[in-house]
Amino acid sequence: MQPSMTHSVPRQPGWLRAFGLMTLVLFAVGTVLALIVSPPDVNQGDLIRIMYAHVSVVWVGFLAVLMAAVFGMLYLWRSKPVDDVWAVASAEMALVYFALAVFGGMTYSKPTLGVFWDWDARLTLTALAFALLVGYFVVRGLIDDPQQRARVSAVVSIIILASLPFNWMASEWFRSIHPSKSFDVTGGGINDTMAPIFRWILLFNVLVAALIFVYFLLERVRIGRAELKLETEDAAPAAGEVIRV
Amino acid sequence: MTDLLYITTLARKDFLQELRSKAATVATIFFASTVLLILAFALGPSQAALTNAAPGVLWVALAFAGIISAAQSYQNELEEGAFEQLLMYPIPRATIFLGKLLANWLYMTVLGALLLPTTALFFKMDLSNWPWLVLTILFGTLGFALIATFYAALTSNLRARESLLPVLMFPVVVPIMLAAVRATGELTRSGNLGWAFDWLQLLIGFDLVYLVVCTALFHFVTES
Amino acid sequence: MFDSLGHWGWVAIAWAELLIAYGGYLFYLNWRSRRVRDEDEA
Repeated sequence: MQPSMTHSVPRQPGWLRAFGLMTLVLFAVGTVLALIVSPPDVNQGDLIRIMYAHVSVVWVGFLAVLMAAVFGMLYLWRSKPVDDVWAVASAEMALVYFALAVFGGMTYSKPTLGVFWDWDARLTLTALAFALLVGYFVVRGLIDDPQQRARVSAVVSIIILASLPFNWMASEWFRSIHPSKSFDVTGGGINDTMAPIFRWILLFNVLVAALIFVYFLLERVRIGRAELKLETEDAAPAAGEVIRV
Repeated sequence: MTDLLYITTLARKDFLQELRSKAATVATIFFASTVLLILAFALGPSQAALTNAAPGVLWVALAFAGIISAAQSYQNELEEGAFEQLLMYPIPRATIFLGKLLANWLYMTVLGALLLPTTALFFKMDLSNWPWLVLTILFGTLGFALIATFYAALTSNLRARESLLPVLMFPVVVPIMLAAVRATGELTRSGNLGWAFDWLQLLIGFDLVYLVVCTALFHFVTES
Repeated sequence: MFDSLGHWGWVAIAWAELLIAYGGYLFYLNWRSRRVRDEDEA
């Protein structure tokens, strides 16, 4: 059997490694800012620090859902397998970030509101988004044909994107009680009452979360492209070997 | 305008098929009634509790019945291989979707027409605002039928489709369920028509958006 | 059990969640990358 290729799957390129390390450093900086530099909040005390971890993750999660849908649309338009790689990578990120958002939201909710779950608008919304993303991967897992899988995933990701504004509305109006701003637990947005120092540290942590997302995305796509190349170069995959996404 | 003819022909075929499939119709009605009865027993006999629960009960029963009927509507065709044949006709895929949507919507509306007075009876609902209630049922079931018809097509050739359909649908239909239940509640309890209209607006907006999105995407769902 | 955690206890949990999630995904990427390389060499 001839050697499958003269080039092996390339190692992580230098620039990507450097980017990853930089992101790690910035994550450390963000953590220090959140845990040490930030003063405690008037109302929530040191619990405000959870907000930095939690809100940043929620925002980037939504960004990831958007990217998954955009790449899905791209795939529907030009049917290039690599578009599906970008799409599923974004969706994986979205799944991770929304899982974090749900657990982080509960972690924030218990000490501040006394209960793990309280049907707060943002917590409800992140739970719905998480459920949608789980559905995305369940569907993917059930389709073997790569083109059909890519196509159906793209459709699902677009529906998910379309559903978010409505789910947000539903979550907001579910309780029809406006929680007091200073106890805006899962804080999807920056409160007007937030002092500048909190805002800046939050924005920094959002940036860090976004950079982590970008790094993970690039690395995941790099691996996905390699998998794609292997799939197309081996006309018949080795017995029993199917690369499943 | 031949598209409209295709749509209505398909709709009529599907709708009649569902009605004639006596087993499915009877099962659906029986199932919805069971839901009503169980919940009446669980939440009653206090009038206040029943009246408060009434809107939710109505829509839960409708939702379950809607999912069953949507899944059925592809089932019959798939088994006969008729769906592939249908796809081979030189008509735009969108008309197939709209035809099935119309049939499912009609079916759910009929169910709603049956369930509304029944729920009102068991759960002591005030039906004086019935014209608006009818509108709520129409727009609410349309939204539900939209998602159900679309996802039923999507899952129709997947394994575990029966359990997959509700799993996929649920996070998407939460807003219509909420709006429909709230609107029904405002119309039958507090009489706050202004708020009921707000919820109706959400329903209509939902219906419009998904009508466009699902019709546009249906083509990709039926490729194989 | 949860009542005995002070503010910093919860903060620590929140940050631990971050580390577990990010670390977990890094591990997954690593695993996947190794799998591709093994396939390539096969």
